[in-house]
Amino acid sequence: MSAAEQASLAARQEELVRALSGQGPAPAGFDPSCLAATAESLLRKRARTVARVWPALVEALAGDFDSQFADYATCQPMPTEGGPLADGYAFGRHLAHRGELPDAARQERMAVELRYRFTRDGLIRRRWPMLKVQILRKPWRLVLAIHSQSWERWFQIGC
Amino acid sequence: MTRELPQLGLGIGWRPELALAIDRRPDLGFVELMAEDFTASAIPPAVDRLRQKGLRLIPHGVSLSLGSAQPPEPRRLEALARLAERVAAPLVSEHLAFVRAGGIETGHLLPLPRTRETLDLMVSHVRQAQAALPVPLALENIATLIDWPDDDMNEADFLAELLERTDALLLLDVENVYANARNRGIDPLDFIDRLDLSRIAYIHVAGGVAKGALYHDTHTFPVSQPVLDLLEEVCARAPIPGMMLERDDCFPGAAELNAELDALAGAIERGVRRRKGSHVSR
Repeated sequence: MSAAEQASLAARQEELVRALSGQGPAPAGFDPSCLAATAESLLRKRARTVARVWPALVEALAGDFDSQFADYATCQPMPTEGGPLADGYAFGRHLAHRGELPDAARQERMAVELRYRFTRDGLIRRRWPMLKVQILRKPWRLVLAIHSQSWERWFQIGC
Repeated sequence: MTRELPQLGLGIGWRPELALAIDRRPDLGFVELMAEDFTASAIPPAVDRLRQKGLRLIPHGVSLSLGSAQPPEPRRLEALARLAERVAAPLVSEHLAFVRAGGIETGHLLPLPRTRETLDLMVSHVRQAQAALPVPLALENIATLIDWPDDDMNEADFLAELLERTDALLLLDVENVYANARNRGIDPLDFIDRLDLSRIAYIHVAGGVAKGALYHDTHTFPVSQPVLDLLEEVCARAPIPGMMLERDDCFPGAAELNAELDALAGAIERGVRRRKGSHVSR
């Protein structure tokens, strides 16, 4: 395959991927109903894999998880690093920016933040020990956690 | 052509939710590990225990994106190679698909256009992967609702020629064959009969769901009878080293999981009996 053919394939694959993740129009020549069905199953699969690794977030959002996740997923593609854990983390950030992150989901986020740092590409595992402190409501409490490569401790003061 | 393929027997895709049921099932010969969920330096004890019990572990990648316009990334190949070495895998598997383009991850296996040019490109990407991996590579056929407007080869011929030219093994996903054939209105056996079945390293079986006119390969439902029948047909045609169940969500309890595995074993046994019977009658 020549370099020009390869560049053309890359461009056409990108066009298809953009259409399927809600970031662009349907490319010409494809069956629109099959594209729509694939886009839907792509979204469903993405939501399902995130739900598996973020159970407290799903529970806290209750019945709103699917619609909230669909809102997020159509404006933000999946992070390139960190898989569903990073995708769910970015979803939480999206909710937090809109003031819609449920308090019950914060401790789960804290556990991930202890082990990973969030970058533009997604989640990258921390190499150094990490300490996090957070005030959580319902019930009110101060939570402190320390994580290093081989151990982790959580402390809690409050109700 | 004769090949020395490891005899894997009955297997299942390892998931944390199924770990206990997998540990207790005595007749499993192998488990498949989702390669991206593991790092060579941190294999869960439950998985190591299976290896100590004598089960084979097979890393199964979903992120190499061998069907991308760009070659597979060395760091992804290195991670897969390290994992294969760490778990003493007899082989690894990946898909005939692309999963990202233009910096966008889809988390989904997508087909590439099937032309002579993309076939040449795939051959070169598969050879690069083979050169970087310490064990043989098996390629899996995907389920897809999408066909490219410029496809000029059918899926089975494209796959068969790719395997022939790269000498790669085949991970035949019977559920994907069924799903694609049903959605395209063609005979799944036509797909099977275009392939060199002696290349099969192992088989995937799973359960999907019909929604409207389309059948979706979701891995969330029990395996359907037509898929078990197709598995029997494949086993009636050639000796198959390994067959396994994939379940990715709506995880069943141990009893339902065991019933699923028993149904698989039953279909395999019927197929093998037919194959041996036809040999005797000749």
